Amino acid sequence: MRKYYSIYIGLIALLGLASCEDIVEIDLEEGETQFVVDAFINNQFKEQQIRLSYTKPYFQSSRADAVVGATVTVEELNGSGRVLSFTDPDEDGIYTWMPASEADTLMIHARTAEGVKGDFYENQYRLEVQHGEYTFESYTSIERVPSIDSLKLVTVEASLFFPVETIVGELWATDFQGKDDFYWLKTWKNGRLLDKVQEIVLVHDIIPGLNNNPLSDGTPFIPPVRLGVNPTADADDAFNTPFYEVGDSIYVELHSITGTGFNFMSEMQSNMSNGGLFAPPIVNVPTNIIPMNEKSEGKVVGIFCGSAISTIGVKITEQPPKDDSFGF
Amino acid sequence: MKVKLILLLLCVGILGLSQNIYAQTNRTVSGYVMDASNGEALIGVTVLVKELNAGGVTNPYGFYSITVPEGEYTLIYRYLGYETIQKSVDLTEQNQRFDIRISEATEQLEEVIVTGERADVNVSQVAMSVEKLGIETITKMPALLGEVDVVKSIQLLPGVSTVGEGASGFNVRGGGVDQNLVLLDESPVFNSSHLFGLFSVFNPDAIKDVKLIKGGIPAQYGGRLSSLLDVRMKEGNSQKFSAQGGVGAIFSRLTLEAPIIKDKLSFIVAGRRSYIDVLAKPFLSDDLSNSVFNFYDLTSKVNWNINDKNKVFLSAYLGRDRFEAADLFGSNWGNRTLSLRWNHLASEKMFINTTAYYSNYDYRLEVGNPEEDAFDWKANIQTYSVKPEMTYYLNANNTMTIGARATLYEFAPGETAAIVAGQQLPPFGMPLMYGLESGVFVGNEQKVTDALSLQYGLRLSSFTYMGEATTLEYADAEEPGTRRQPIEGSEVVYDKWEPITTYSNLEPRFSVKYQFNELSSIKASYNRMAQYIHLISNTTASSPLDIWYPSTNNVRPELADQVALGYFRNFKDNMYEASVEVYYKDMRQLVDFVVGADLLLNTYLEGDLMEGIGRAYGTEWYLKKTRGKFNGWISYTLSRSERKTMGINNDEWYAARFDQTHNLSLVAIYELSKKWNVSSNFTLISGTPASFPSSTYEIQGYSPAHNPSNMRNNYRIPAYHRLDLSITYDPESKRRWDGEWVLSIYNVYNRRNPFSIYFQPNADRRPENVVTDNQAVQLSIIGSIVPSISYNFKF
Repeated sequence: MRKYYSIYIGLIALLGLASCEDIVEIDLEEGETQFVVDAFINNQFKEQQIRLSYTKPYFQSSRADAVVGATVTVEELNGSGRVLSFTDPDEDGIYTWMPASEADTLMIHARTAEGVKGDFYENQYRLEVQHGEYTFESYTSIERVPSIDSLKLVTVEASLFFPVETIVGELWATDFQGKDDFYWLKTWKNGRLLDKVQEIVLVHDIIPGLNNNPLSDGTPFIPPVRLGVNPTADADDAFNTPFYEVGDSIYVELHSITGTGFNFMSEMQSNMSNGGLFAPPIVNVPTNIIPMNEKSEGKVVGIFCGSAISTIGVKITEQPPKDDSFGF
Repeated sequence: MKVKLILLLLCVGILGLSQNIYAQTNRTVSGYVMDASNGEALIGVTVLVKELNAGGVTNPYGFYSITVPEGEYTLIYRYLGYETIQKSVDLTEQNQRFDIRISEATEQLEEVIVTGERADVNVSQVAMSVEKLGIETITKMPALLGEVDVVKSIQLLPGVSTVGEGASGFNVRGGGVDQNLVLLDESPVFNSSHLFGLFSVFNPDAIKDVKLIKGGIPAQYGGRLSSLLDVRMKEGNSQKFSAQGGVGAIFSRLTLEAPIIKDKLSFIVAGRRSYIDVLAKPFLSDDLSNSVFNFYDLTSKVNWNINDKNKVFLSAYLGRDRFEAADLFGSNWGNRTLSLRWNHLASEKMFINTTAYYSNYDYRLEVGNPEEDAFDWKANIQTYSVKPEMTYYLNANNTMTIGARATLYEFAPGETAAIVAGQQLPPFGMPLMYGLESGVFVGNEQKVTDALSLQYGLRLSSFTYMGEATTLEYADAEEPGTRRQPIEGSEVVYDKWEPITTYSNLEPRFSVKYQFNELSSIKASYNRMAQYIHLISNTTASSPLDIWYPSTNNVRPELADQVALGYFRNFKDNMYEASVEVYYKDMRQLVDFVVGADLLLNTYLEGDLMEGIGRAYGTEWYLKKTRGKFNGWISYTLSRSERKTMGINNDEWYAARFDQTHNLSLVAIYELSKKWNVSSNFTLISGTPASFPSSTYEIQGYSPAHNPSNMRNNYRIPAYHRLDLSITYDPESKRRWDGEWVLSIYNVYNRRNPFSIYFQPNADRRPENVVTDNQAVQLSIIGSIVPSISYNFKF
């Protein structure tokens, strides 16, 4: 919705009423320092990372201080019962664990054929973090992810909304039957993750954003998701850079995430894009990290979330066919 | 407490009626007061019986009725800006009907005002916390882009505020924008703004009178907690054809009015349209050539004076904002109202008005192309209502009002249709909801002695949430302030019109005036209000996409009690009016929202709503110079508006978004000569509260705003101040055509007033492996000086 609001703001400007935004200096009180858990794990045969750090003043642009000397474990609750120990030998706050073999990678939690989530949904892996007198835990699962059918490329001619000719990517994948599959779509252009706040594409079954409609499920993603693989323009560029050109590479990962992970990410995205005429009050992003003793109460923020990943990658070698049905 | 108050009211009532028993034969003089030039009924004309130093004022239809002991009397009809008329009336034999036409004063105002013994109406009337603005004053004030604006003008009065340009509606005495009942010819208008808050939906050329009641609200009004804005349309010239209009930077306006049958049947049609899109058209490329960016409104009314005893008015309003970019994006919203009113004089002493109305506010949002991928979303609120109301002019000292109201609501909180890859998805939306709001009321305005007058009444209101519906129950929140989940298996299905939940409230209303002398009085009032429908909005400015939602089995009505005390004093033959009022408002069961509430198209919306309490208090100072070449007013409000909701702000009181400690307005209008008029206004308002973060943290390279203390509205944005100027040049013309040029300059000293300050990472692409760079951004909706010229005409 926010996009349409900005159109309205544009219209106000059009009417000669120059609305304007200025960067201002504000003195903010310093808040209490808390632990930060950044724990996304996945089903890949790759090093798994959990980052522990401290909160920092809002305007501090340097990296947050690392939490060193913590004990970090992930326990598998369905199956082996193994406890994976994440370690941080170089004391940078990044605690890692590497599956010994492909067979050792973390596994996808299987739903029933009808799509029922079962007892292990968000209860498949248990994280425990201990640092001095502080102890926290959290639970998550690794959910199913559909395979990607194709990454379609078309050429769209220049128009008023997008003044240069551009190659546009469109991701085709079909959501599973059964409500409440959540995804996070990540795209790399020429090896660089598209990581602006507006480029976080979160999907509930088939649509971007929370979707309580029991019927919108199990079809291909709707256009805002499909087009989510394209970069957004920088403010001062005024849409003068094509999304993609011949020679670019596109690599896409579709991550399944849990309902809690989806909620965390969408709250974080709204938190970071909160502004304008119709801004709701700013709220703290919720956390699923649970304090285990009284001393730890109110001392932690962050997320523990599992993902399964589907990928597709293409190198654009020639100009794709023109398509005028794209509305830009 | 409640019972005692009702008893007191009853006693006072009986006292009032008992005066009748000993009275001698009474006679009544009654009639309508109209403007001689165009036949418009005049509202609030003072009719004074000179011998008794008593009298009345005309009601919103221009009717008055005065009952006095038989005898011969002199009546004085007095109305600001009009010739004062004296009439002898013989009431020894029979009742008299006097329909009076009075003419606009042709001379300078001061010369025609007869210095009466009585103080002006602001001191002598019982009602307090009432602000009246004549359209002549409103049109003289500077306005944004020269567009004369009813809603913007009342924001310069004490106790009325807004959170800034671009915010729809207005706030009265610390209440939300949804707590104002805005009536256009008795029909409610749910969104009073075009283009968000920048322009109001009322066409000034069609408006006759604007009255805002902030406290001591009489029993005939109910349904909102904070105020009543009563906007009355002109009836249409019953004497001759006339037209007026204007060409401005935003709108062009044209109003036509004429008699169809002189003195019997007349009409007015007033239209406005913005034409930015017409001007922009040549510059739009092919794919945008069928774009529409406009807003318009059409106001019309037919007035049929059937006979001495019956009058009928049919008023219609249609307003719309449309933003459509070719096939890509479309959005439009607006109000439609239709009201039919019938004035019937059952006797000289009994005035009956029956209003039936239909009102609809709807919006629609469309994206995409229906052949491929598209999304269409609409929502509306419709009301159908009947409202009979009888005013009984019992005797010289008592005027009773008795009436009822029944309103049927149909809410469509949102329905969507989507097409994905050419395939129509099943429609999805929130089901229609139905509610019936009803009220019966009785009120009396009573003059106890020359000094002491009372206005008291009782309103019994109720609201029934009706089927067809499937209701749910919600579990208690795990923690206060968080989402409540629906209980599985708690569904109950109700048939169409089957009552689900009924709420009833007894709403006492009371005002008292004690007049020390002709120039000063003290007044006090109490009112209880109940509000059964809620605007679901948690954004800084309420947006056109906000929905209205009824009270249901899970959402209780909002309630407010308000007490106010005021001292009123006039100086120099009422040339200066001054008043000081203090008020305290206690609000309960206010709708609030859980942290991270999802308010659009949420089937389980009720689980995201919470109840809070509120309190608002303040003092309002007002000094007005009513006449002379130089006139205007100073208004100052010192106030506080706070909320408390479990789960928000650590369960402590916090300042509401529209809390403004200081609010100062100065309006000055100076008539330089017959040709030149200058006016200006200045506003200074404390910065509104805002929630600022203290910290951030890193997750996947992102750094969200974080506030470990959980405090809401813990900072204030910088103060708002602005000066506007307007110069009117009216070249005198001998012909019938009367034109004037208006130069207005909004925000004269070019200040960037903050609307809000928000916290965001820099939106540009950051270098790899660097966390987002956070910054504070101040948003100003109007960040520059806005000059404009418009031309108005009348013939």
